[in-house]
Amino acid sequence: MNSLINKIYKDFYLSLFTNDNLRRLIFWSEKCGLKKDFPYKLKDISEALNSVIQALNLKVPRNIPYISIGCVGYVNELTRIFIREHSNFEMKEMMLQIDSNLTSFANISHILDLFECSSAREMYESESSMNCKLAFDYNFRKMVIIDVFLDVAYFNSYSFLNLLPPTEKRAFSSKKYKYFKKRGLNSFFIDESKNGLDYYSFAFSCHTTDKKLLESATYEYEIDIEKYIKIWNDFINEYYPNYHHIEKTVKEQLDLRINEHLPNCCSEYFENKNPGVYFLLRTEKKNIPKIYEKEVCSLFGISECTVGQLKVINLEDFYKYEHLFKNAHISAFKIVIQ
Amino acid sequence: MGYEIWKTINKVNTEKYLYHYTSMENAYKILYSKTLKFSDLCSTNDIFEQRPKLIFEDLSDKENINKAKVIREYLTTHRKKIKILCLSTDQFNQSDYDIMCENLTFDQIRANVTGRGFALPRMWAQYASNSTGVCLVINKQKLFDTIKNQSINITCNSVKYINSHSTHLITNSSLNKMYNLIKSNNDNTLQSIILCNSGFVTHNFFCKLSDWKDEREFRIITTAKNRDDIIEINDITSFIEGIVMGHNVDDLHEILMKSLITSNCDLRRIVFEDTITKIKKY
Repeated sequence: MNSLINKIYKDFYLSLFTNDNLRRLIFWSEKCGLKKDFPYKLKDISEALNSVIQALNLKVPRNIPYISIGCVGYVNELTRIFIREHSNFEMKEMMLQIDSNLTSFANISHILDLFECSSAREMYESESSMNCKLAFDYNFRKMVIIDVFLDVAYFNSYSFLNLLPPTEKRAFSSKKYKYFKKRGLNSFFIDESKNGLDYYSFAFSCHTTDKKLLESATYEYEIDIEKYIKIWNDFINEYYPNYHHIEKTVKEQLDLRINEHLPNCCSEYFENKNPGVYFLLRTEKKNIPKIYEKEVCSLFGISECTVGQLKVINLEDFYKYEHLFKNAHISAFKIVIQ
Repeated sequence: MGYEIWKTINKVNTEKYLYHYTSMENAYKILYSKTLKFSDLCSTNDIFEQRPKLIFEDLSDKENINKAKVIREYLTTHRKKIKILCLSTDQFNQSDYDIMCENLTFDQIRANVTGRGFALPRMWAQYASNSTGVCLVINKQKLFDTIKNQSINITCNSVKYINSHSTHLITNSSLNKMYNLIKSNNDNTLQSIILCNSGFVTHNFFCKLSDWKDEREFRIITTAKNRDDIIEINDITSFIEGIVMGHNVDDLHEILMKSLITSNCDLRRIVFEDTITKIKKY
């Protein structure tokens, strides 16, 4: 038995079963100074990012898409980060390349210059057309990349933000920065800009301020989820007070579930349900640990465990059954009814 | 620990860290045994430190001459009991820094660790086997706390660099005091002479010719009961907060080094680029 797959399943019982994924890219090349294994390190970063998104999905009455991070040697509409360690003239050449591409791709809402540099924790204006430069110590690489893409995911969970024209999407990042300054939010990054910046991720304001943790040689990513949600709520209420998020229909949401031969009548499970957050549970394996058999059979109203049994629960009951999602091969798929 | 110890010279607290350069072989010994040993004073590479520097104020009578001979003999004989730990330091000078930053881009200035105590090319060349060794980054206060906890009596100071070897005159009262201590012949004699704040001690152990000034040395001195005694500072994990691998260290050493360090010790590598010096993470 492949224990790795079981481990991934255990921790990703929501994200593994949805196709609600966005692809976003990091522009990188070996010329930038990072080690050759940088693309392989992205897997760990992606998992951590989607773990946070999963945790947010359990709190927020919208579907937040997951992010698939790729690493390429060119710029296109999906590129959001340029990451480097070098500070030589070759980087200047690459930045000129990015600048020329930015005019070609109207749908790039923002692109950031991530500069890895020992002991750094600052944000500055970029010397190129990129929204801003984030200089950070190597220990914080995972944090910075996760924070940038976390805001991408959260942005895309609002239907009205998705529908903004490209110019307004580009202006959106500036608004977040202005909000950050106006509210005097604390931030992981020290703002060393002279004239203000065109970017900010609210995740930067949701990390520990404990110096000892931050100064640890093995800093582990952490984020205050409640604070993150609150900042976004306050920001949206202030800047977009007359906009309302419209969730997809149940059928449209179910279409995003990975194809496992769900019955066509699946949406009927949600008819006459009050507005709220629900989870469609499915038994994914016949042979589950004996210790959970009785409980699973009771939950699904079956006499023995078989694959493909369905059940809908509401958010309040989610945590009652979380141990089954982790250990008994029960998948959970989020449905939001407005 | 972590990112703070790698700050640029204009941002770091210059009193916080000390640096010990050594070969890879010695580094493994230190990390494996978790101890840092004092060296013999006689084994330093400064030829002027091989014997005591003594000039007496008044040798006009035979009695004083005899006393001076006794003192010289004693300090020469017992010199091997004097143990020393040589470390480098951070030093910041604003005008030097401004000159260093001229013509550098903003990013280069931000990344440049030139001037830090772990970025001294001469030290890498001389004491870290031509950059194939390591530099240990030591928290100064934690080192002193550990030494105190082990009840090791020390004297310490930054080395003063002088243009020529001026002489320190040992006055009659100092001569008599030293002579009487030696004649008392008790276990603490050497310690009493060496581990104090006297002009004699400063001149003999904390002054070097300016030829050595780029070492930016900070010294910790102690005395042993017997010449072959080894004095060790235990529990190095409490004060070694970083390790810098030399520019020419083979990548193969990374795995072994990582297995020997604790999670609160940050392992990095120094890279001397064409215009700046950088610290990179493994």
